[in-house]
Amino acid sequence: MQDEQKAWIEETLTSLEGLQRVPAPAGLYVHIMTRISAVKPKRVALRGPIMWLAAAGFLLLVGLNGYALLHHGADKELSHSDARPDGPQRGGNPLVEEYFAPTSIL
Amino acid sequence: LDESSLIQALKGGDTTAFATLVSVHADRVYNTVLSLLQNSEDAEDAAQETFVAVYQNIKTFRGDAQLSTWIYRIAVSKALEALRKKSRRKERTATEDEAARIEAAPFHHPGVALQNKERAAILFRALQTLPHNQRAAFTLHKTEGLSYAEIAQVLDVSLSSVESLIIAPGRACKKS
Repeated sequence: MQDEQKAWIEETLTSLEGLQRVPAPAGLYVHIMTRISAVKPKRVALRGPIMWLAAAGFLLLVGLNGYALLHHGADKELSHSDARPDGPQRGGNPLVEEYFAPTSIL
Repeated sequence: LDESSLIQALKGGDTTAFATLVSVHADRVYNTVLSLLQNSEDAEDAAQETFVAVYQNIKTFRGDAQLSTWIYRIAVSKALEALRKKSRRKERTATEDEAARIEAAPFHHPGVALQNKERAAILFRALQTLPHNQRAAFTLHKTEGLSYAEIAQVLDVSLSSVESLIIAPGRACKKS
């Protein structure tokens, strides 16, 4: 009984031996060429409102930066003249001075 | 045309060379994907996708492996992709009856000798239960007659991995 089972298993496992190749379907090349010609290069299209929103966001960012720069510069000039009335005048950009000058806080 | 001239012509966008390539490799590709997918319609679709990918990516072919190995690799990848899509579809199938009906349909490979039809159908059924890489290795070996070294190149794994990938399905089939 076990031998029969083993033989059956072996026959099943070897059942693909001598497998004949099946010819590919007719018209395969035509179908392939149709698919190739149907593939178009991808275009990323931005919708109008999104583009306007992005432009407005960018302008707002530039505007806020400009305002902050000017406003901060004016404040700094004032505080410099308050702190060191007789000190040496650096005359540079106050923003640059704040970041790159040796700190007096420490 | 020898292989290197054919590759050069393909890289230059020569459609006649592409037609030659399709005629040479069509049967090989179709039979590989047919054995993996066990469905003639899916196999035709995967074969078409394989050649479209070959046409679009031939410029990236460096010639490290044989052209046929590279095409086999694409064919196996397209077939496995289709298998994954199919199993996702099955998971989403509304009724269990329908899912059972899809699974129950036996696959009769048209190239199998008449006296082996029933046993081959059982074997193909058992192959459905295997992980995809084992299924691919076993199919390439048994139906395409590829050597272990060739399978290692196609699946991009080591030779020892191929051996274990092919031995495991045999054991699984014996169990089932």
